[in-house]
Amino acid sequence: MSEPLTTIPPVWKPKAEQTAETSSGRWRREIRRRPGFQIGLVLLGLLVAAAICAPLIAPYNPGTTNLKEKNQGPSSAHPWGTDYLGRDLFSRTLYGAQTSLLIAFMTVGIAFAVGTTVGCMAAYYGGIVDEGLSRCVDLFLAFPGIIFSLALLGLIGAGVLNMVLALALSQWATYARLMRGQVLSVKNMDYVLSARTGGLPDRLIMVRHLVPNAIMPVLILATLDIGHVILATAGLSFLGLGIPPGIPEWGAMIGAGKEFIRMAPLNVIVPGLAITGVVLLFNILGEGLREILDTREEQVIPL
Amino acid sequence: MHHYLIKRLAFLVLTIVAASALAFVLLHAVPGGSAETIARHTLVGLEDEVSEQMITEVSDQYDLVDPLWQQYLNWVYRAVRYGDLGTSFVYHEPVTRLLTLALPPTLILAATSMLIVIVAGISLGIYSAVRENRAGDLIVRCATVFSISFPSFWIALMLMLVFSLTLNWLPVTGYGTPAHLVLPALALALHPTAVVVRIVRTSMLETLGQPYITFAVAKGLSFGQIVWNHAVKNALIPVTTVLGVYFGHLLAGAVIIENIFAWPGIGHLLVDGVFSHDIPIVTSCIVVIVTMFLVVNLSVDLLYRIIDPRISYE
Amino acid sequence: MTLLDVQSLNVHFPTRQGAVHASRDISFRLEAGEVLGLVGETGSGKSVIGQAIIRLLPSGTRIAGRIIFSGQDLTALSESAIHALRGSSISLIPQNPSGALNPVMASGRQIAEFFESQGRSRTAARVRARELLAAVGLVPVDRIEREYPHQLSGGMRQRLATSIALGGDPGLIIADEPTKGLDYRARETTARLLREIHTTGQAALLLITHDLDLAERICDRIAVLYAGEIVEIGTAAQVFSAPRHPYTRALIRAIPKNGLAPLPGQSPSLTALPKGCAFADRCSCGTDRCGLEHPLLTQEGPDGGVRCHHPFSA
Repeated sequence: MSEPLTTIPPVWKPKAEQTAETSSGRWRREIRRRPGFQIGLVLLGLLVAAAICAPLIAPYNPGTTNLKEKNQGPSSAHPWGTDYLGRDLFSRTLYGAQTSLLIAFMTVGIAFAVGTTVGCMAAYYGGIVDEGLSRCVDLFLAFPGIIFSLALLGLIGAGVLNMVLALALSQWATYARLMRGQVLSVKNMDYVLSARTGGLPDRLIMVRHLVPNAIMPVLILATLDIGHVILATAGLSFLGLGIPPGIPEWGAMIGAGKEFIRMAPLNVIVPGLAITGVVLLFNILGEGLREILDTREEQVIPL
Repeated sequence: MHHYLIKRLAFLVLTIVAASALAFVLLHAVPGGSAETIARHTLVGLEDEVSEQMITEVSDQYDLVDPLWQQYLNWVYRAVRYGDLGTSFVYHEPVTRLLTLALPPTLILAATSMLIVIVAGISLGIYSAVRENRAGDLIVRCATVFSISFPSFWIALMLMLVFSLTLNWLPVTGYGTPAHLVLPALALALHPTAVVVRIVRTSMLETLGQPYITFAVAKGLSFGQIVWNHAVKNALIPVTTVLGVYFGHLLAGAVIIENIFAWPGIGHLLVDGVFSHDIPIVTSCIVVIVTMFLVVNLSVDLLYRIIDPRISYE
Repeated sequence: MTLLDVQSLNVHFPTRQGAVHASRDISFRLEAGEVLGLVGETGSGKSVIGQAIIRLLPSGTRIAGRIIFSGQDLTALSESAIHALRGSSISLIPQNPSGALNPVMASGRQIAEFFESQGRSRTAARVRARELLAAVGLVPVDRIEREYPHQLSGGMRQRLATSIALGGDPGLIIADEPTKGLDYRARETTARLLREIHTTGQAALLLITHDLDLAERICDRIAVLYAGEIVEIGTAAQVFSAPRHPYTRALIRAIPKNGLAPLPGQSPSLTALPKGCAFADRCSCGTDRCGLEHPLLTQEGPDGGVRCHHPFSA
């Protein structure tokens, strides 16, 4: 006989009943129990503040070139070094946060709004509406990843708004599918049925009853998706797509800096670490949110 | 079984047709798809003026005169009838020929990466679940959290910096030998591997909590029997369905990775096409990628039905 | 000869809401070849006792007291030593056979792998598995051994699980709610099967059930549990014909054939047990003393007893 099984994994079950506790109270308690999540929230606040206040914090103009000081390592004047045109990497990275966060929030916002609306309508009306919308969603899901955004973006040309639209086009379907499933699961609950028989207009039923009860998993998806969108943005701009020259963006910085990777690796390393750090932050926040909302938390006792 | 297969195949063809229509129409309708832009890209410089005559010429040459839906039907007709996907605006060669050249490199890269994803993802996921909350598990979990946050193109550059430029162990870019394959395949596999590790771990932990595992313990089976015969198979069945989806992500990721390593695949062709507004190339590359993605997903679904005895064919 | 001697067994689970005292001060003896029924409502802590003996409780569970099996104290054994006893010396007939059988392993393999774990060859294990299938009446063996659990009926699944428990010729079989969730016919088959084990083998059977009908038919002795404590213990004949504890009497009255008289109220929470008698709230003949003073289990005869301040006379 080989190694004995020393631990028996815990058995989990869904929480038996919802406590009468208010949801905001539950939130506060769950967040208080998770110091990692709290730190994440603080870091997110700092990140957003730093991005907004970039003009105040950045020691240099991100666009000012200084060829005499190009490709330098860290120094007291340039803590993170300078790029291939002698621009301050710290300032550029800071401004890059503005671009990345702006694109990510707008993309996820649009994809979320469109996706949840489509998903909710498909599930609520059912029948031919559902059939049509769902096939449309399937169609968009047949394009893997950002492939469609890439092709489209190349043809419509650079621009922050173009980038957002192209990315949202390849993201919205995921939201629609998740939202549809969620709404279907709450649609036949008693309170929805009674609201329907009570003659409440469709729009109000959706807004008051369906959306609030179905939205949480979609919100978690959105949080985790911000990381994905930041990565996708960086990938596209790395290839030279979407971001107009002159706007500091991490992927574009890496794309341009990769020619100098051997003699000045900081050109590539600094923005890469910035992307990793920010994506990591959103991933951790998303996971934390998922854990908080996960109802499977109480250990069952085998009675 | 046959009924099911036929239904799925019909649906596959329908989706490919619809996806190609969507891609064709959208890519031709955008401003960058107009005859004027194409003329600018193919006939004169980007800054130069384009004459009316040039536009007419280009429109005639590339069949851009008809309304969009008719252009699309013509394209499909020629594709089905003659296997002709159009002619590249830039290379003046049949798109089919360019695709046949680009397809093998992409398949080699994607298959190698997928192999890494499956082997490393599943074994690390199982290991992590079996050692839950011990040092090994914590290391694996930490590594996966970082791996899903790294941009793959950045990891590719870092690998290149370390293994090619500094240590000189592997070639920097290019295609042809197994040594050329190592870095692109690793860079491409990293992100999906980390995702698969997490999925396998979660599925394993859920399976290990099932009553049949407790009963297997009560039977006095060995640790190996419990994990391999009972936990792993049950845990991996649901994982197979997501592998298809991650193959799609891998194809999308390959577009960027191929460009970094000058890998002469579909992704390289696609990005070149995008930059030169070579619309036949772009449309065809997208259709090929979508087809690969859908075919793999269908195969995975069929595989799922074979390995899970609980599913029967109606 | 005493096969199993449980002495003041206490089991509690630490939870965020406080410790759950699932079993308190449980003592009983089981002779070789004897059938002891542990009966009580859901939540009375009866299953926990069986799981404590074969040590299948979740990690973190606190166990105090002694469980002497064939002269050795199981609570003092290492995990690997107790694992060596599982299946061969002590086996389990699981609650809910549908969950306890691996859904993706053929029936024959689920028995055969047990014999393989005991060191037999694959062929020898299969031969033994087929014998066992036939012995529990799962025929035709050729068909059943290839079928998966979802293809079997509930009763057949229970027989399959039972045959696995019998495989190692164990000295002690713990049957944990073997009839729970089964329909009438499957319950009858299971009852017959358990009676056969009893009459043909030398194994002692610890039958954990809420099904008093089943207990009456096959048990030699009965221990009645309430809120984690034994409230009455005695021979089956005595307990059923002249119950001494008010709770036992209420339970017997609640059997369908005795008029289905329900017992009002609920058993106390295992996190906040009352100071006095746990049954005092629901008892029809309680006095002030019952609320203040915790009754002890009396010793009557070699193995009889009742935990009540005002027992009915024998």
